[in-house]
Amino acid sequence: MYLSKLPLLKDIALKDLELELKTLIIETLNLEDLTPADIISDDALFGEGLGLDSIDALELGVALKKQYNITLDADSEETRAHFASVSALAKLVSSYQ
Amino acid sequence: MTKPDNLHWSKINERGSSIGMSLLLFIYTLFGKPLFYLILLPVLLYFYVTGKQQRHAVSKFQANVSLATENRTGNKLKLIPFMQYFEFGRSALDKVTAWMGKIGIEDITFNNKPQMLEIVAEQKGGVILTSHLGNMEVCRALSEEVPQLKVNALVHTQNAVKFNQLLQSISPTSGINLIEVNDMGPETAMKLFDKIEQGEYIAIVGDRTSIALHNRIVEAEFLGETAYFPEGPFILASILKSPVYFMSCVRESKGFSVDFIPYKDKLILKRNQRQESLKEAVQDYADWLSDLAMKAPYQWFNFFDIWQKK
Repeated sequence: MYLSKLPLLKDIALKDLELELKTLIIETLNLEDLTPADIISDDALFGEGLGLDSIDALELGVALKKQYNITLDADSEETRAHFASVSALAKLVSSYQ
Repeated sequence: MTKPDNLHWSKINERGSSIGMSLLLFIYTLFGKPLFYLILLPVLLYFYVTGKQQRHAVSKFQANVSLATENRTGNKLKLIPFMQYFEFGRSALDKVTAWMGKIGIEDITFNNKPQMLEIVAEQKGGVILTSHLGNMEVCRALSEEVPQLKVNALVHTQNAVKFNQLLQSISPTSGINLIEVNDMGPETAMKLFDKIEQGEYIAIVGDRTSIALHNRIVEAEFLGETAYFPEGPFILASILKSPVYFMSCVRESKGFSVDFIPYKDKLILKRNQRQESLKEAVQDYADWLSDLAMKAPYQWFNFFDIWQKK
């Protein structure tokens, strides 16, 4: 019973984190006309989807570093995967908590 | 698009730079200054005669800087194209002697030293925008006197790294750390932000477009004509949310003169008016650079046409 509930708790924590990240994205990038509800967790952040650009990616990187003290290896492929969507970012951040 | 006479500077610069510098260093350490110049002169003449594109770029720069000077002071400036090459050769020697520790703090006039010491003591770190006018390498002598000034210089080419390794073998202790940037992604921004949080400085040149740091350009008025500057360094300065400085080191008749000018506490580029704010910052930089160019025209070491859109 208790064990079966654990993944659920983890999911809730991830959902909270996703919401937190959406707020962070909106605040960092001054997306004043958006609310967290407008950002879909699995949608692409860059290009199509939310439509962020490479400069936004840099801003976001610095904000994540500040907030969660995340460090990434200088591997752009891996970074791209982590920055693909809010849900991917949430997984990255949760691995640091 | 890349006709042979319209190459990006990063291609042009590979012309013998790394091998040439090692050779010059070898000659200098072995035979000293007089012979160094004796060998350097024909080398410079060779570049002067064979490098048509660079020669044109030099003539254009000299024409513009002399016109701008005349407009400001009323006095004509008569410049000799070959002198641009000669100064460049001399700066190569200065680089070598600086690395060997032969240019000391006594050779440098520090124009606002107390202010800089105060800033460095705050340990806020920052971004230092420099240029290819003058000779920043000479500033390494400052690290003796201001050990807390830890500078990370961003470089674009493998050449620079090789040259650095060569020099490092002569003088292993230095306050300057080179970071090669091929790809400017979030991971690089995070790494640089980390340095700043530790109170270190990121030095970056603002007068050459680069393939790595966004090949996008910003127009700004430079010596009376529209020139093209890279947006990368300014975006980086804004993203790192730290104080921004302009810094130069220019050779004078005796020794060197260093300026460290606080530009902004934070360079803010608002998302919805990014281009406008960017243009403003680049123009401020270009104005600063114009003044420097008028002060030391022969020390403009960009042998490409900055007024030509790439």
